[in-house]
Amino acid sequence: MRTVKTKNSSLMKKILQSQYANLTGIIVLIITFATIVTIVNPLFLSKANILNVGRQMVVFGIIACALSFPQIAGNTDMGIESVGALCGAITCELVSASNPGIIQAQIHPVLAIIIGVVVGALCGLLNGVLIAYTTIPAFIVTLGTQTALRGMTYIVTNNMPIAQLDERFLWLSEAKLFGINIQIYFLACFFLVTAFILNKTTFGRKVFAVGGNAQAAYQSGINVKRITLYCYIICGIIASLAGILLSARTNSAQPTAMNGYSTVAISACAMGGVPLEGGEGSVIGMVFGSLMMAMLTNGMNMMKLSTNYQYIFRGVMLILSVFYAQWINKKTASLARE
Amino acid sequence: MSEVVLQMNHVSKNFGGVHALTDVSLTLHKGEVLCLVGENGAGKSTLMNVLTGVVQPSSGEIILHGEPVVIKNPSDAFARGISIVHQELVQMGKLTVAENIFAGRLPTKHGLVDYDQLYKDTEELMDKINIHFDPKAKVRQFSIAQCQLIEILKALSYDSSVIVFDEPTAALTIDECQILYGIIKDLQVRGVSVIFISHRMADIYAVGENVAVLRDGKNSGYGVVSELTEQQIIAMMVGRHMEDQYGEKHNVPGDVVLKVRNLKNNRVHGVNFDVRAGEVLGFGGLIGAGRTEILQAIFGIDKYEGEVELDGKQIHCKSPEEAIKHGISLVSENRKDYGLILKHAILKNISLGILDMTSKHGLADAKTENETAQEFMDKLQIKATDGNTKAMALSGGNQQKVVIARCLASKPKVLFLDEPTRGVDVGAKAEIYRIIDDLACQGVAIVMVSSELPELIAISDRIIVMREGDQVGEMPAKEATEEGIMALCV
Repeated sequence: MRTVKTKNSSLMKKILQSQYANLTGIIVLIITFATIVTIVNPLFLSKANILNVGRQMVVFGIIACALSFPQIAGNTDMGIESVGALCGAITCELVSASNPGIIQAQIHPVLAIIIGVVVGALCGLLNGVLIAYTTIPAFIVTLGTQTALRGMTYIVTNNMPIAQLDERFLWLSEAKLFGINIQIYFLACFFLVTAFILNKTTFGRKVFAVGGNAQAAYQSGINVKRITLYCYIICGIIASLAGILLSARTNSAQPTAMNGYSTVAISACAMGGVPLEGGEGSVIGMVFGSLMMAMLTNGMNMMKLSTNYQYIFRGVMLILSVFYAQWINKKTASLARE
Repeated sequence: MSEVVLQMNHVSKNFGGVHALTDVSLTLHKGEVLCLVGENGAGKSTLMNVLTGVVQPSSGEIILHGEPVVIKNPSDAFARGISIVHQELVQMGKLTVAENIFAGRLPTKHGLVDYDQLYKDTEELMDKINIHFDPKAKVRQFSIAQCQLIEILKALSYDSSVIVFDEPTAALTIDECQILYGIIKDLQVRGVSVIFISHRMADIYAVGENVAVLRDGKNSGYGVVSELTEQQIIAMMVGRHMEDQYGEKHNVPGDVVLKVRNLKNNRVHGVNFDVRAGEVLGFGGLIGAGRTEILQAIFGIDKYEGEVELDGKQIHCKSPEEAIKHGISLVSENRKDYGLILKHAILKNISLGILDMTSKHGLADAKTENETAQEFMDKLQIKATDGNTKAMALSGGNQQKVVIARCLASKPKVLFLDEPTRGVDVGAKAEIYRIIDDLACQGVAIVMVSSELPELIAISDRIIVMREGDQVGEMPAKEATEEGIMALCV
């Protein structure tokens, strides 16, 4: 360590001391993991597979964006998966020619998506009101809504997949621009818009302040409850869009869609440097975090691990990777100090 | 003098390129009370961290009872009879007094906790220094002073020969300080040596035998307390002669800005006062007398009944957001919990106060924000590498200036200052007094709560004294004396 230090250029030092220094952990992790998978299966780095990872990253990245609002404000949301599933199901039933669900009307896809998003916003409103205006912990509230909304999804779909979707709706997953799937562009838009809201608007700045120290934010004249509420509404809206885009990709709405994705969102944020207690975080970190989560799934398939073992591997990897990222960060921080 | 218990010889400590301590030496005798003083950042904490094994010195040696020792970690320090009573107390609120004192060492019988023995041990311990709590009481509702006593008991339970007190009186009332002084004298009689860290001259003269002064991580003075004047000790701390740390007042009070009539809630029983533009109104009284509560009520944090008029207009703020919009700002007494976002940069902390004022259509104007914040940072002489330094890296005085800057950025007509110099070193105190005078000269109406009587008298134009929620006296500061105010307080 000490011999490396003397060779550090001032540029290196600048990077290490910048706000992006805490990304070194996740970047090193991605490189390490990619190297291991490539050694086992060189096809991992083929163009087709990279695009595949990109497509798998779409929903992960969008739910990370959704979660980032409550999480940076110092709360959490365990219900993202159910909001996405419910809104995806409702939208799909509205664009399905014939389905087993309880909604039988077929309407224009744009209208159907708007209805799905409104339902998502209402779910967020419910979470937000309960969390901001009562003293029930966010974890409990959103765990409750996760369960209840999953139940509603089962009811809305009659426990059956919703298929036979409108061709126009499927444009959301099949269209291509410059040879790249449209969903990748959507993902980029979500990242950009989230970064814009968080960094360039007063609302976003307040989100960071509330997560940094809610009491100090309150005494500085910030309406903490209102910010908390808005965070959950935004989260609900983005989660509903994630659910809708996923159903377009899988060509159907599954009653069990997005099961376990709340954990994925939390993992992606945690790996990307949004601490669980909030107040910090960057979209660029979330990009890396969701990329890692997508690579994990894809990489395990490339290494031909069976699904059951994938769960074990994924769980172990989550713990290991956060530990690893923290370790790397600590090393870089001490390098930056010296 | 009696035998030497502890010697720290030529201790240095570097953190990266920063020399926190350079060649510092310190000698402690049996039964001595040694005051360790110095401005924030002078190295007192680092020196004590070396002593209690929190950090290892880069060079130098520690000699305990004549033997050179290496103190590996805090529990090693405890085992060797060195304890510290921290400034920020760490108690497990849900546990009882006895459990807190003997945490990790509970007596057991057949593998289960032997509570009878535990309570008996606790009682015995308390008898030693003549303080009495119910050993079964939960610590949660204890005051800071009571928590401190528990820490002292804990130190005694380890049979410590050296006890370090880190700014123990910062949060105590005058009465509580007296009790603490008594206990320290008791310890001294029992042969315990005490290192007493403090910013307050009153403490040094009340308990100290000798005083060691640190400045910029070096020894800068040593002497017998009774032979030194306050000015001499301050001069050793700041390296210059401080004529009068309060400075001269220049403000001229104008028209009434804030009028409060019959303000009442469960902590305050009917308070009336006016504050004029350019006036400093001081609130004196003991902690818990309802002074902070008056400010918090008007600022919209607590509910109240009664009338508040700002510039002749009735207002009743229900949130700080509303109060700030009306032109009222509050510098809270607890900057770490209520004033600052410690993990955010200085500039971000300051611009929190002007986010909405500089924004257009909800978009933050980073340029104007940073310029304004930088302007206040310069004006208040906040010392840091640059504006992107995180607030947690600053000294107490500079942190306090960041909170004041944030409040000033929104250009308040009325500024509430709750214990503005608590935990702030002498140099920064003088600067904060100058800032208060400047603001008053610019016509800001200032209401200051202070438990430091000399400060209250020197900085205020007028003083109101509170006792248990009642307004018990009012006087021009020129006619006020410390004794006169104390007589009203108790």
